[in-house]
Amino acid sequence: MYAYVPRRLACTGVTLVGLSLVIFVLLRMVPGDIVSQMVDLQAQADPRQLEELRRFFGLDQPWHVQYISWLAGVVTGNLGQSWRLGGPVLNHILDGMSVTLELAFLATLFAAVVGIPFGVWAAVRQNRLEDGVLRIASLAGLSVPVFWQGSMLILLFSLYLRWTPPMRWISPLDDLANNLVLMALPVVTLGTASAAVVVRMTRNALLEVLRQDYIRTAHSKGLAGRAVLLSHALRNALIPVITVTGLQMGYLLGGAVVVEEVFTLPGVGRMLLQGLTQRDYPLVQGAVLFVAILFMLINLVTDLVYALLDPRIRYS
Amino acid sequence: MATAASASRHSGGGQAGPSARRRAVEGALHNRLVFLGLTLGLVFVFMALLPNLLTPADPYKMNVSHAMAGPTSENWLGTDNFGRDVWTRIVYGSRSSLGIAFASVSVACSLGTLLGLLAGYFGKTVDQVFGRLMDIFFSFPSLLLAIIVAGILGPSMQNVILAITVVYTPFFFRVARGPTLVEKEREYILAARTLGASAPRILLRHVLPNILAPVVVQASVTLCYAILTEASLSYLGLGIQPPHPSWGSILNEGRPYLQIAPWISVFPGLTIMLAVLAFNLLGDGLRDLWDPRNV
Repeated sequence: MYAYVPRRLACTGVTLVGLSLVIFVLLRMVPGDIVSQMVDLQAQADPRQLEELRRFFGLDQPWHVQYISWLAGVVTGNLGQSWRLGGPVLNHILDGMSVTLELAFLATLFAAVVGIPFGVWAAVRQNRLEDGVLRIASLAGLSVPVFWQGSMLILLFSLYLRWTPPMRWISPLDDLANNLVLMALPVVTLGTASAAVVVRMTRNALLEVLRQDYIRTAHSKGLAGRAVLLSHALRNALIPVITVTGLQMGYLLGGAVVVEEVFTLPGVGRMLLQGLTQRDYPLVQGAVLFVAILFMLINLVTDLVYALLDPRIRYS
Repeated sequence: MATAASASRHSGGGQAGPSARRRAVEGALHNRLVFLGLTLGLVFVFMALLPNLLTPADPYKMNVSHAMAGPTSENWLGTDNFGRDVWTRIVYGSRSSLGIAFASVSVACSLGTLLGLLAGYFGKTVDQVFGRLMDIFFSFPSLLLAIIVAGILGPSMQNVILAITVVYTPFFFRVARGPTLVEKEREYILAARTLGASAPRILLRHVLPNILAPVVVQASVTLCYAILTEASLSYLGLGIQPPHPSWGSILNEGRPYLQIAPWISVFPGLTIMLAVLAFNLLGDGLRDLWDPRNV
């Protein structure tokens, strides 16, 4: 395990360089940069001024020089300045990341809190009406488009229940209660599909464990059904469920972009979307790098927790 | 070659014969989930192929005097902000939504499976190069990657197909590579190799038929993700652009009128949900059917 973590981190570093290179090249391959966008707004620009602007943004340099200079900045913790928002990219990303991470974390929590009990219920009532209903419901949960669900929740609460959540962002550090009220609908929207995944995973994992010999032994020893379920079966069945729930958090970082757009939350996804449409290269590159680092760290931590919970798993 | 093929059949692997194929199809049709998913899916395919049989109206025809009218016997699902019939736009929108999903999954499936076959069969450098390349795409949340690729390339149908293909090709690579590693060690492959069969022939005639089951299940599941991804991209303004209808773009156009004309948003969303549910049911049923533990 001690050798595994540094090796995995080294692989992560190589992958990150690869990803940043792909995004860097893609951004520059497409016709139209920030200067041409600015010129669109101010027609009849002087070619010398255009050259000057390109030099100002560093776009007159060859691609490889631009990339190496950006990468050197990253190593020293300097992601550059945002071309549109102004100020260091790192500050913007850290501000946005706190919103996105809170959203993804709460959605994962929602998925676990809703998904595990329903999954256990479906397994206990296997092949009965409740199991069938939960199976269809979880498939429906997986099939709902996130943005549509968000819109429908806004419609339901604002139009029919006459309740509108606060539209201005409130930091949990300033006012936790109001922050949680603000996050309620986005969290339910983002967490529904993950909750459906957790229901299905819990059901399958528990059914698998309930077929094992040691469960039959526990029953034949005269243990009550509930005791066998809670202290013998569920403990082992939850190991893969925790892993899947952890991995879900990584994928929720992607879904968060759409939810942030629907609920106008100032997260890193929304910032990335604006950066893309405005050709703000430093902001896009920095945000991609940060999300990728987080995604890989979440996956690594999940793998390590899996190994800690299940002594049979050994990474070498 | 006939000897190798018969060896592969005797070893339990090899090519599926006509009777085995018929049994697989019969089994699939007798599975309720597969049947339901297939029926629903075919309804949507029919909708996409022959929209004029389901609605005589023109999806682009505006009638401003009739804008944002609620559902009536004439306009079943109401009209949008330009007075266009929402039902007609949903029916014609299925062409773009399903067309993009099918096209991108077909390319991702072919490319990913081919690369997975090559990586699994040849191993060593080929496996390392393709594996590391795929790791790059796995290092990022898939929806976000699709948004970035489509955002960089700009909104168009081709770019949406490209974005979805880029994102889902690695899934097929992974699904194809694993079973290929197992199959290439089997005796019937050794027999085929001994008889002088070339690598492409072994891969396409012997290995591919034996790894198809998980690939088909993956294709069905990926189709769901592709429909959702296309809808998300169009909703964010990165996919199909107005006035062309797609389920996501109809939803995007209905956004400002959510409170006063909710039908513009409600029905396309329900359509997306039903279509994704259909392919989810199909994928789920096929997975159950082909799961060796259920035999």
